[in-house]
Amino acid sequence: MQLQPKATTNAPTKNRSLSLRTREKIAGYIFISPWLIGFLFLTFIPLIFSLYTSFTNYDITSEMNWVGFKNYITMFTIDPLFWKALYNTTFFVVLSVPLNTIGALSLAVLLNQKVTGMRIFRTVFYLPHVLSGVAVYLLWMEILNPQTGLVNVALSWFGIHGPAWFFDPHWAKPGVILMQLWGVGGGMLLYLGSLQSVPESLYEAAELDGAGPWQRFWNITLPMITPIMFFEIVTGIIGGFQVFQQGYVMSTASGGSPGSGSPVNSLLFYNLEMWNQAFVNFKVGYANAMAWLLFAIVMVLTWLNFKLSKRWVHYEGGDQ
Amino acid sequence: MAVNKVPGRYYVGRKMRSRIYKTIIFVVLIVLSVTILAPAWWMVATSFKSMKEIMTTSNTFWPKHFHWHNYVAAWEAAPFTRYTLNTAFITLFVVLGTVISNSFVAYGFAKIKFPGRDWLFSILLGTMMIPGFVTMIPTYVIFTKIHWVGTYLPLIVPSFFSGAFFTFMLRQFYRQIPNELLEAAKIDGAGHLYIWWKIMLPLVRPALATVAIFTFNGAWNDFLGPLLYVSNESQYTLQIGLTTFQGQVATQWNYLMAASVVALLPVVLLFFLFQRYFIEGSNIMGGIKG
Amino acid sequence: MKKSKKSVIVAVSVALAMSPLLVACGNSNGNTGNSSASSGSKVTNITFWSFWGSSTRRPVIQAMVNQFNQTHPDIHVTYQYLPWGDVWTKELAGVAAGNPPDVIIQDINSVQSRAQKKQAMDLSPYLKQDNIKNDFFSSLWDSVTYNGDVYGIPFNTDTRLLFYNKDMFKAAGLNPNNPPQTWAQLDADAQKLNQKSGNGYKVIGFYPLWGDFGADSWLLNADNGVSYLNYKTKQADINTPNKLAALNWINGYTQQLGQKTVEQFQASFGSKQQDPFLSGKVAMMMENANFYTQIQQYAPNLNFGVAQVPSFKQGTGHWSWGGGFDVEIPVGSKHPSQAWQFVKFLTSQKEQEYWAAREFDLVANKQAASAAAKDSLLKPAGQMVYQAMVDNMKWTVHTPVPVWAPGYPNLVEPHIQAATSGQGSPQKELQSAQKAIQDLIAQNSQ
Repeated sequence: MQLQPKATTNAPTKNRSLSLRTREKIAGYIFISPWLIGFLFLTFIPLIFSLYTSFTNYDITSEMNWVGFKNYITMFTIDPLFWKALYNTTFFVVLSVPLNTIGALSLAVLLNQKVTGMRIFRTVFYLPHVLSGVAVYLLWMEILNPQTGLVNVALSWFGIHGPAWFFDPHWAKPGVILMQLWGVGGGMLLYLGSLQSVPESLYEAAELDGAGPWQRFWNITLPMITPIMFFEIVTGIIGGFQVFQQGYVMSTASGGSPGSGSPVNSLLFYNLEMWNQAFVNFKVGYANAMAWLLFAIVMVLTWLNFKLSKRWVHYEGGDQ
Repeated sequence: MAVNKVPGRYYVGRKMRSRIYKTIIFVVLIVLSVTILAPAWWMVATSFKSMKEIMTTSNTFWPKHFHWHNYVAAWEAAPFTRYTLNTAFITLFVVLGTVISNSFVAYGFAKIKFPGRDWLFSILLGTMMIPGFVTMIPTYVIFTKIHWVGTYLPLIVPSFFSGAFFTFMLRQFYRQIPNELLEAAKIDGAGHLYIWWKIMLPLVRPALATVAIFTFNGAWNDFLGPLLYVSNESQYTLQIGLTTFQGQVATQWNYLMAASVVALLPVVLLFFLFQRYFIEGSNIMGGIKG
Repeated sequence: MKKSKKSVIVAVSVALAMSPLLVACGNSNGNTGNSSASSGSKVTNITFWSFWGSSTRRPVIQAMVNQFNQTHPDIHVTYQYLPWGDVWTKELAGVAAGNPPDVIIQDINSVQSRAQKKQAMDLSPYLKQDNIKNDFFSSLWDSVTYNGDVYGIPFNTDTRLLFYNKDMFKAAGLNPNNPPQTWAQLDADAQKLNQKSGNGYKVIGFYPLWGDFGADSWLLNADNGVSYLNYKTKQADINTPNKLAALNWINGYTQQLGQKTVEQFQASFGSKQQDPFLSGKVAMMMENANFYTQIQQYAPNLNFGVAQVPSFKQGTGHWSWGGGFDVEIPVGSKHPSQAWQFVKFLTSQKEQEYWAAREFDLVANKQAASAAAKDSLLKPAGQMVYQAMVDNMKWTVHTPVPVWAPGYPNLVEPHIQAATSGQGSPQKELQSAQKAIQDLIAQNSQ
């Protein structure tokens, strides 16, 4: 990689024969070529395969017969768990995306101050994002324990009788959302990076104009970081619809089997139901049909997001 | 709000106000830190307990005795040193590949106009919307056909072909950079490769550091990838090693927590040491001046 | 700029320094190929996967593999540990891609669907030569049989017993050698064992849903050992009077103790780390019989006894529940006949006994199980519990997932949960569960 820039430092003087626009196009394709190659060889075939199999009774190992739209029809009309899973997932996305965005952004603003020990604070807040694996889930079963858990104990100090969290079908999802919020350090980091890129001269100019801290935040900081907010929201929605691991593991908190969505199907997220269909019941064709329906839903939402973004996302580099 | 440089005219009231303001922030941060750390401490506390204490007493935040030996015993329960080296090896390449390829591809999507760009970008985003396990088996079959199963190649090579998440993210960062900068460089005769490497990359250094730390984190903690593609126990990674403490009958919580703590130390340390890259980051204007 | 260049150079040189690792890994690729390491005779290499990787399981299974390798010079088995659950995902990928392991330990309850989906090899041809069917508990053999053919050999199983604290029995004025035999006696004893302190409880005699015997197990205990499915008629058997009675009985406990007490107690062991029986907070608990090993390790002085599951009514049977694992040869194994040699070895009486005594695990081989109960490696208490678990096999029901009701547990579980947590009425939930499973069966028998 190091040699390329050196080699091409002189490049602009050559190739005068090609028009500027043609060269621009070629450069564009060259730049995206790593992705394009990877996509064609590693992603495209499996994707098309899964789309095709969503119209079959594919089970990976023994059969793959064309069944037309049967899987899609079953989903809407027969499968009792499909709607439940879709509801659970939508609930999760609707609550977790805004909470994550606000949480991450507030934290980033706090951590962007010049205060003693900031390096340590930043590490502390990033820590949850680093923690992963079974230990974390266990930790949360402990923290959200209805009687002895930290959260309910803290609530009782204020005279509030906390909910039963993972034992109560109404509170299991909020429990998962809280877990998610704990790991907000990842989003925080992105915003922090973005805040750092806001030119200081803008603030200096605003201050000379007599703008207060709040005005400076609202009129300078916020617009400048909208591209990253937009990124966080779009990927947050996409990722939120794919919530899986939390539901899979936390199903066991109330004594259910892993992936069962216990208590009373409240943690049965869309991907969990897909997983069960594909790898427990081996109805892979059906699971793939579910995946492509999800794809359609998320695609529409993302398209809407991009449409709406024209109204609020500010690109310093223009709208090219 | 994020102002830290106060221009010229200092006066006492202002200084006072700023001091009070900073104290408030400090206190808020301390309170939040305790909230964040309490759960993590529970993990550490468990790592020092004996199994007997874990099984027979209600969970406490302070071990009765600190069994330091848990750490030694846990580490020796499986070839963890080997697993750490394996994990580090994979992670290193994945980080390298991810940072280079994504920053490269994202530049193309952000700053160059070419036909079909928006369509291709939609497809790129679309790849994020299909859950990984839908493509898991077909991808495994492909890697088997090209005889890569049993090596680290299926884990490392794809990272050199960029991916939707980081490409999209870096595209957003690139688009924050004013186009005038590019135009000026173009007039000076610079090509895109030069602009990307010499001008853009330094400007988005905080973002690159973020990509690096996220990727490091992800690769270090990856579980299913190594599990699927590795066919020999000597190639196992830390995350696979940690599962050996979860028995069919009983889990050795203390060892599991001890080994988990050690396993995540490198990530925390790395973050602590390298954070200046994305915190004291490159201000766009600063970048131009430099 | 200079700095970052330097760090790239450092990174690359570190990578180069480590590259032998990559090369080494590349070489270890061919795991099923024949290596002619030993001079002369040809050695067939086969791979064996299981989820036994803990410090208690690993050495024992490895010793068995070594033993096999020594006694079978023409076959070399390589054992590989893979994490629980994921081991089967990887097997599935392997079967799909044509590079599965040669032998694998699988879940005995799902053998039939793997047989139907052509993931597990039909072992019937081998069984014609080696008829070992009668060596195993018959209910386990039924679990591995699909359409008259056999797709796995049972390896181990388990069963649930009532564990009770003898000291607490004495203290409550109960005969420690006379554990409850029926639900009515269980209720009476539980009452006496409860210890109140103030408004709450210090010790709870018994609560049906704690331990390792879920509502589903109580339901089959009440219903003459008939689980949610009737395997003969291929019908759902959920909405029955006895099952309803069992649900009401469970809810009676919750009402009597109070939801709050139950929650409070459950909270203290909700994380599944702490155990209330070991810490003397609960006097009677239904547990997997191998719970004995935990008593041994963490509460060696506990004075406990074990008993059959109390029967619903006098004479209705002490029905219990069990699961287990079997040894399979995945479809696509390159060396099935060598793999079969190893399967036969693992399930032979000698090896089963070796495993049984060291792991305190109920093995599928009947003779081995009986012998293990007298094994000198076990303490007297261990021999007593092991014998109790062997005896309990006649009451132990197995509930494999049949191909005509795939995924039925996930459909029933929410209804039962709702019925036992006050979210829904037992009668209605049983009705809707019955309907859901009938629909499922109808869908899958077209």
